[in-house]
Amino acid sequence: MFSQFFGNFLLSKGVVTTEQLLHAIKEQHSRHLKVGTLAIHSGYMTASEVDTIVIRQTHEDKRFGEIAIEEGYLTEEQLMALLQAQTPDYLLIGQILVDEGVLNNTQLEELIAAYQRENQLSELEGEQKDNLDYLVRNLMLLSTSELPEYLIKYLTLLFNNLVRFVGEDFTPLNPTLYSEYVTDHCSAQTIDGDFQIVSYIDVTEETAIAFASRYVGEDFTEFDEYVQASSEDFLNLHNGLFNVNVSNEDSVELHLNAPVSMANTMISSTEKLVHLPILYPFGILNFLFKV
Amino acid sequence: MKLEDAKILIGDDSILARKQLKDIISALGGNNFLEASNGQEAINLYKENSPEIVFLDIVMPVKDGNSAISEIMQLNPEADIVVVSSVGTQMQLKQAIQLGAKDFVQKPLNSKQIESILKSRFEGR
Repeated sequence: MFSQFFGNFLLSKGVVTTEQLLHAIKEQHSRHLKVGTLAIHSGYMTASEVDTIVIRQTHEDKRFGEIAIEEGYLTEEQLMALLQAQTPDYLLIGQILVDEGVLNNTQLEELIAAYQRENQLSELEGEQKDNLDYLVRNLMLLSTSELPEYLIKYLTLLFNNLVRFVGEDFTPLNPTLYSEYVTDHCSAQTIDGDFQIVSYIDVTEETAIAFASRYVGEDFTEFDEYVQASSEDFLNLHNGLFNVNVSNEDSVELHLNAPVSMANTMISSTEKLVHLPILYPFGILNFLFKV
Repeated sequence: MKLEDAKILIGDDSILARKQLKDIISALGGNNFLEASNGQEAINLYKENSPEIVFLDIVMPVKDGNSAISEIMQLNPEADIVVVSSVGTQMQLKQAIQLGAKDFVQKPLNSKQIESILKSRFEGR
């Protein structure tokens, strides 16, 4: 679940372009992690030690681990530990960017350390939920420090639902606050009760078609009523599941209103209108929340 | 009764949700569908057609699913209503059952769940 936020981190630092990041995300499934990347992440080897071995490998037909042990960079036990360890999935994105020449190993080493530090990421299993909570808080800090607690919970569930129903290959872009926003093809749904959230998903026609194809699992080619209904359906599903969660966990009963279509409409707010763009290889899903 | 002979009313404001449910039921042999996009339409169609089973969403415009359950139960206390909703809170579920719904399905739709609901009521192909 962390590779999505690592993508946001890399974009925010200005070390990759959107195109380079999207390419790395697409490549994820056809690549595997290398021992050198694992060794840098674990702290067993420095980036320059890894580079030394990579250079040796260009004229020696030996495996990375073999040379690392020969050079005294790794013990056999460390090598075994690396091969068996659970590793965060953002490492692979980093490695692909190194393979593509966008970053070098030294930059990757520094970026991984900074990313972990800034997000207080824990290496421990079982703390993933807390980690995600922190990542969401950190992402939203960029827009304002005064977002209500329930919105953090709402967004954490949104990221999980995107992974579950649309795909894990997304990157959240930095949120911004607006007072006015003009929609393209937009669906909206209001939750009210103890608190209110008005949620919007706004997309271009092309992105709407691609989104529907993924979400429904059918090949749509034109913007029709099923495509239009897909983003409403996703909002309704997500908001419904949010209602179930707050009802179970906090004993809060909320009311969900039917989703509506809001094409080419001006949304304005005297309060907070948070815009959270989610970048997928097929386009950007613009989520907006009025709280 | 055979599923292929049953009149099946689907009340959901999402054309996509109706299509997905129809696709699942068609694959099991059902083919006689009535579609409503809000609670009031569902009540009207129930009155005119007396369907054997009703699948109803809760969150709908004009008249919501709960109001539709109440009115349909008044028309026929034996009506077989299954709620299909993304808002499966304990309170919502309790309310739907108290109003007279026989089953509750949490979205996203799971074809196995729909299949077991239909198999307990109708003969297959």
